[in-house]
Amino acid sequence: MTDLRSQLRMLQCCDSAFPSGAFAFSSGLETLVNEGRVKSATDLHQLLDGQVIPRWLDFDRPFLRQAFASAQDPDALYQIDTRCHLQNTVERLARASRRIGRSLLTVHARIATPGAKAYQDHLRANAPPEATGYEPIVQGMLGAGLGLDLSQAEVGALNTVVTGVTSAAVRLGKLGALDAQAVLAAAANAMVAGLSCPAPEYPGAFAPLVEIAAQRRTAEQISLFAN
Amino acid sequence: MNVISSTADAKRPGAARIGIGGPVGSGKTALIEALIPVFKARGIEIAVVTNDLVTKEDARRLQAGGLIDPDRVLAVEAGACPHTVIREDPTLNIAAADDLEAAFPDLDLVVIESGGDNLASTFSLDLVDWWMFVIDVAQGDDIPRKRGPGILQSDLLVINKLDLAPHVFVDADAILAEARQIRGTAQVIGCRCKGATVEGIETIADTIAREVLFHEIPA
Ligand SMILES: Nc1nc2c(ncn2[C@@H]2O[C@H](COP(=O)(O)OP(=O)(O)OP(=O)(O)O)[C@@H](O)[C@H]2O)c(=O)[nH]1
Ligand SMILES: [Mg+2]
Repeated sequence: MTDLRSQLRMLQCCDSAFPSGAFAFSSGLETLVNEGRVKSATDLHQLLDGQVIPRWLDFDRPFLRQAFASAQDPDALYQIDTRCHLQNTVERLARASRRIGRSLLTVHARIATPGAKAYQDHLRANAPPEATGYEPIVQGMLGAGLGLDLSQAEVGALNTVVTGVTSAAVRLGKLGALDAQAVLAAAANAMVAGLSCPAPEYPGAFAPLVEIAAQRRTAEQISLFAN
Repeated sequence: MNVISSTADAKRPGAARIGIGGPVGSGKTALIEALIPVFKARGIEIAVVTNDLVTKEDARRLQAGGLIDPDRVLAVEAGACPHTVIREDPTLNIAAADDLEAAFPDLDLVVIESGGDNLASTFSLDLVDWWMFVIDVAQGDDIPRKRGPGILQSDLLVINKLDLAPHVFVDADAILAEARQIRGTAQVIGCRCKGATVEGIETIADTIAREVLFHEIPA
């Protein structure tokens, strides 16, 4: 039976109202919308199923799992964080991941989630801010600190990514708020299927449509989002 | 076991943080531009965070204006949510202010300009110690009457563009008097940030120095 407290903490921390700065990032969607490549709820659903969800499963998920297993050990977390940095080839997505990860650390340190302050202090003392604090590492560490089981930590993190992109699509005017809920309901299939498969042992990402879109935005482009 | 820690970060060391909110085009950036030389003359070290709604226009304008070291200006994108980034989720602005403080340890004041929003926008006290709301006479003399949290809850209400009042059929004294009546003891200052002469800027700087930096300036 699932422990009610961990379930509540998961709902709290995966709520879109939880402050993490994530609302300011579209993960490449803004460029795809501006270029006319994502025009509808159907396009968004395809993007989630074909790019966003697989990228999280292949890249973020293994890092989250490693961090979850090493949550008590700031130095081990730092090593995982550094590997995540070295493997991140898309700087705009990497920057978003760091900004969200570091925001999460700040907020959880403030509300005294176990592990948050220790890791924040460790990074402040040892690490360059532009190379650590990645979202999946912080999420894995926090998931353990909050008393979630690994599967809850994974579901919560993947849900955050999928709802984040969907809510960005609503703000970009490509679908209505009610249609967005239909897309989320449909995307649950791919999320469940992916999470039910074993996680890859080694992280690796291949989602060229969103990755290139995130990098392609130009300085002159009118933008609502930071990526 | 999680403990409840104090939410007001009263002992946070470093520079004071103030917010400037208000509707689109009311003169928030113009007010910052007018205040910068006044602060400079008083030896108050400042940096600015802008939250442009769509571009980095305000940050670029301040950086290009020659009034302030461009490195002291940071832009934070608001993801189409100008109120979220100053209230529900101010984490990105907090990070930007932290970065400025780390880069310029002698800062006295970090000014955070909100993207133009509506009358309901307010700043989270997790982000700022004090905030002002800027409206202008040309938006209609009924704006104070419409109240809204920005008008009512800000530490200072600024009514800008007093020079335009005669051109838009507004009685400047009446709008100021009505705003003062609606806000009770909370402050209202009228000003003009642009043009041959400016007006009210020193008074606004005095208020910030007194209420935020605790300088002894007679009211
Ligand atoms: N006549 C007059 N015009 C002013 C005054 N202050 C600002 N303006 C003009 O009002 C316009 C808007 O000023 P901004 O400073 O960009 O306003 P803002 O509130 O920063 O605008 P957003 O950031 O886009 O919401 C500009 O064209 C300014 O030149 C004033 O005191 N009098
Ligand atoms: Mg402005």
